[in-house]
Amino acid sequence: MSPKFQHTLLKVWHAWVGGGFLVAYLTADEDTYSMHVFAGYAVLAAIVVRLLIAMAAPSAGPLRLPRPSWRALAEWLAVRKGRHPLFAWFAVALLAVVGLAAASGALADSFTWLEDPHEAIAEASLWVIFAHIAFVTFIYGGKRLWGRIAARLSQFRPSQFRPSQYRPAVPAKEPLR
Amino acid sequence: MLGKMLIHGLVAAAIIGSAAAVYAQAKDNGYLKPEAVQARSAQAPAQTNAVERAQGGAAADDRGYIVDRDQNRGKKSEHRHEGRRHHDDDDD
Repeated sequence: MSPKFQHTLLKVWHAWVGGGFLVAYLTADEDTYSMHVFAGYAVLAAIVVRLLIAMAAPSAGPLRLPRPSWRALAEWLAVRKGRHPLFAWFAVALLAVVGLAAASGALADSFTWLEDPHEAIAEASLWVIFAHIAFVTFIYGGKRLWGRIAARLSQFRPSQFRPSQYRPAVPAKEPLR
Repeated sequence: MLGKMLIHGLVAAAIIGSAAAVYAQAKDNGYLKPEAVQARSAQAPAQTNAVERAQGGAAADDRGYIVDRDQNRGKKSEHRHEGRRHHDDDDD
């Protein structure tokens, strides 16, 4: 299996989990309970499929599960080059929290006392997802935006700013007679 | 890249949402419950029998098709019609 195909599979899986979670979260109301159950099982199936594929995937491939480590984080902080280690931390955290939310939801059908923990885990997973989106947005788009802001700020020189150049657009009022 | 991923996720959400809606519709209407189908099929003849009893067995051959009732009318009723017609003529 080529790495490109593995990346495509990973993207499909990512869309599957994201879409399923979105539908499950939006249909958590009692009126749409059947849709919520369907979407929840879709998410649970995605997590199980991901874990199974990760076990069978070749080592060092993109389908292998990432292994977060403090040492990698410390090394990255020393040089600040290469892939950010927080990607691995987020991947594992998301797999754990979304998997727990889906599994507790599936079990809550049989064990009703799991309903409240399921809701709490789902809310927590939403915040982890928000953090993941913010992190990825910063890594891919935020750095560029921050570079632009820094460039603008560096072009701006306070010595060039002369208040006399700026005249008011409204003419001065005539003196009272 | 981020925009593409967002679009992929939304497309997947639309697909899963549609499938979930179909599933919910089928489940709420009872199509996915075998016992509900059995109950419905068992209920149908009972209802038909009740209707037949109410109509005095006239609906026994009624399968929903339009039927020419005059064709099935017996000789006795024909005779009754004839007699009534004669009676009306007398009135005039």
